Amino acid sequence: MTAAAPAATLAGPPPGAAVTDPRPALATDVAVLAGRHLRLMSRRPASIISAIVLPLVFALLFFTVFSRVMRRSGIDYIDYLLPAVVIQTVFFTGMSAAILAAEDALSGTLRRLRAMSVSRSAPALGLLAAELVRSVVSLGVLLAVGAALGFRFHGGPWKALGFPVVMLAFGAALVTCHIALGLAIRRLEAVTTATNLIYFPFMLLSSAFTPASAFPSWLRPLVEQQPVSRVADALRALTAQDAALARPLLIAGAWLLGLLLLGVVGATRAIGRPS
Amino acid sequence: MTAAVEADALVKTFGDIRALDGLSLRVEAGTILGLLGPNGAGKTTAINVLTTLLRPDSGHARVAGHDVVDEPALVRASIGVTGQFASLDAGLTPRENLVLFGRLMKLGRAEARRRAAELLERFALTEAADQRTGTLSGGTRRRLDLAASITREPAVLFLDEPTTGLDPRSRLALWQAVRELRASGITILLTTQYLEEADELADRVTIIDRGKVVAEGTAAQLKQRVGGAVCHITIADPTDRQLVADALTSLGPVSLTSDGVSLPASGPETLVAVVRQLDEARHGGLPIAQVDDIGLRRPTLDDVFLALTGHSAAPEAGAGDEVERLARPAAEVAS
Amino acid sequence: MNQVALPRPAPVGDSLAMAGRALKLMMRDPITFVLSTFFPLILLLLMTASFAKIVNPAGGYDDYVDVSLPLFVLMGIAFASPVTAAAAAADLRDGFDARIRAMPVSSLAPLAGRLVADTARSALTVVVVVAVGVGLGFRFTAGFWAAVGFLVLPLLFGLGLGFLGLLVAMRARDTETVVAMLNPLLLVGSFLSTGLVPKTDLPGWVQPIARVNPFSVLIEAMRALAHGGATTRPVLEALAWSAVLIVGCGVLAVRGYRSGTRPVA
Repeated sequence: MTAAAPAATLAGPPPGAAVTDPRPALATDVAVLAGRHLRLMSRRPASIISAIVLPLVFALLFFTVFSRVMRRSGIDYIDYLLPAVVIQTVFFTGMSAAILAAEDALSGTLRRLRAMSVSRSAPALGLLAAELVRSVVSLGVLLAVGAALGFRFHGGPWKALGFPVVMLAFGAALVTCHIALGLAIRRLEAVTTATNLIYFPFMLLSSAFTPASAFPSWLRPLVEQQPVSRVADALRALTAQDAALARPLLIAGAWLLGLLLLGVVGATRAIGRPS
Repeated sequence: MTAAVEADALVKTFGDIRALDGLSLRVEAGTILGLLGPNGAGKTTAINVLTTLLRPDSGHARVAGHDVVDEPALVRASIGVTGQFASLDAGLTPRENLVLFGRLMKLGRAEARRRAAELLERFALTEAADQRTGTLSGGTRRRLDLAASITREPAVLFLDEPTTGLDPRSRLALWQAVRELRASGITILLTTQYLEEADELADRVTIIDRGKVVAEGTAAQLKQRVGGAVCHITIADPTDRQLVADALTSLGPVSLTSDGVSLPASGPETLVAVVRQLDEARHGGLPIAQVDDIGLRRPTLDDVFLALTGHSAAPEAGAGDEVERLARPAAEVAS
Repeated sequence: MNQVALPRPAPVGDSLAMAGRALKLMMRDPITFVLSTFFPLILLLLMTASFAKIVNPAGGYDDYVDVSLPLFVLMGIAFASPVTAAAAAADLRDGFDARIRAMPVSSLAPLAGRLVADTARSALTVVVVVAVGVGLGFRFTAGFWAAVGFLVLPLLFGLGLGFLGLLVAMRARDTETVVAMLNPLLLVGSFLSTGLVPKTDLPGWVQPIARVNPFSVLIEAMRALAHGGATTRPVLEALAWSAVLIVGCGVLAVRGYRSGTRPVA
């Protein structure tokens, strides 16, 4: 077969030009699609509220209500609480990513992108990049407010630099899993329910808001071992003055690597399904 | 002539449903092919295979000279796709949507912006250019969708039911836009449930049913296959339709349509015979209340469809919609 | 000849029909059920597991349930109201209410029906949360009628919050905005109360807020109804707050509703 398009009669960029350049450029695609999501997010008041206002409200409320009783237990609550609120922010980011991924699958956007010269993984990576940018903005706000309430990095500037790194690593792992979830379920109310059912037990049965020692003894092993507590341990090691770093970072790192793999495998399988 | 799209014996099954059952079709470069069929006939599956979204179980297809299975990247670089569901971002403006598509099609930033402006102009979207897409009318959004799919002019454009749900005026405007695209040399494969649409736009028509081609040709050729003229009697009341059909059986095979009954006509004498027959029936005491119109007409594609497939092309309530069928596995995973 | 009876609005029948519609839609929307029933349960279980020993190191987990259950009952009811309000806003936006307005149906039936359905769902929430609470160690020690009062009082408060939600829905008319406005308000209300920690453990500047916060007022009344002690004054205060919400928000919501669904001239 020697079929070819009648390129000579066309206005605009000739179709031949497209054919010479069929290789998708992953970096460009991801950047362009991340820009799309950021622009869409900035126009949705609900998304700004869930990214910035809600974590802030939670932080302020927990701090206000529990700081006295915590101090009685010998804990400076703002130092203890901030990593928890950062983790919570990442969860909210994940929930938003799951919804946006499901919306793109439902609206036909994904289908359309797959029929274009766009890298296969770019839609998921673009969303991930946008959500990570959003979570960094939230982190900035939380750190500023936290500082006003007395939060300090007691371990010096180098450990402080590790803090956002761990948060972004957690974000990458958790958001990838949530994107996989959104692409796999593809029904908005079911996605909301599923993400809440993950969020509440993992967040509240962890040492994020209160030390594991406050839990009933039979729950304690679970609370201490689960990934959210491990990430909280790593974040706290980075804010404390003289905590051992290697062990908490390694354990958290192992968990995050596992989660990330889970998310990547899940998202790859879900994105390949016909819409 | 060379073929811009060529499919040969495509088979695709979902579970025990044969969505494509040896489908073959051909679209000559620079022409419009109308792919017709009722819900569930395999139209959307065919588009999905030709646009590299689905891998066929067997068979081959080449689009713009490239094999859809072996060279999907080259195919994607040569095609544009407009879905039934206009999948543009409601929260972005038309201009932003077009720039986004331009960037994804690897136009530089400035080039994407220039191209977006050009397309807005060309598709009469300049007035709406900077409003949120979600606030625009259905017809405007479809035009934008069409513009987005040719951001980088494709060799082949797939239009999957481009006017479903549009009002008549928006449909006319979209048809005009499609004609202009063909005039610029783009090959178009159009699926539709509206036979009138294929009649208006398509150079050739392929009718499929249950995953197979049942007829192929120009609209005129297909109409000829049904035979000469049709006598159509328009009757508002469905009960009366049945009575009239019964009264006319002696004149030939009478079929019930959505607005009356029709039968094959040999010429004006059929008209006379029908009037006479109805008059006799009425004198014989048949309570026929109201015949609104009697006339001769050339067969429409609807008649063709009815003759070839035994059922009407109009969407039926409850008929398994193809898109729905494809979406079902997803729902099952979730529940 | 028989004349066709002109259909006439029947406020009670129409409202019940609307309530039936709202309940049916609610049942088919699993989130609402998860939110209204599981949400307070999850909070009750998890907050008790994590904070009981911090708030009162000497007491047991059951002691914390005994004091904190009223808050979780209220939260279960309160956080369903944004969902109801969002549904009302969606109906308004989609023209459902305007359509009802053009029919021989009592014009307030959509609002009334929604609140009836809402209250029915709240009753279910109260029963489930209290049942689990009793399983975890919550005790009624002030007699049968006081216990009945414990169950009914939050429903009245819920009705007031329902009107508040509708009032917001009349103004905002956009489901996302409605939820985004109500959730932070309810979150602040339920946390800055005496529900989670004793008033004296709150920071000084919060204590006066917690004292007048309707959530605290309801919590104190419910505690009195469950455990005895001076009951009259807290219960009257709780009734007063509920009445203020019902009458105040009710009048404004109905007024906004009437002008919002007036047939277009």
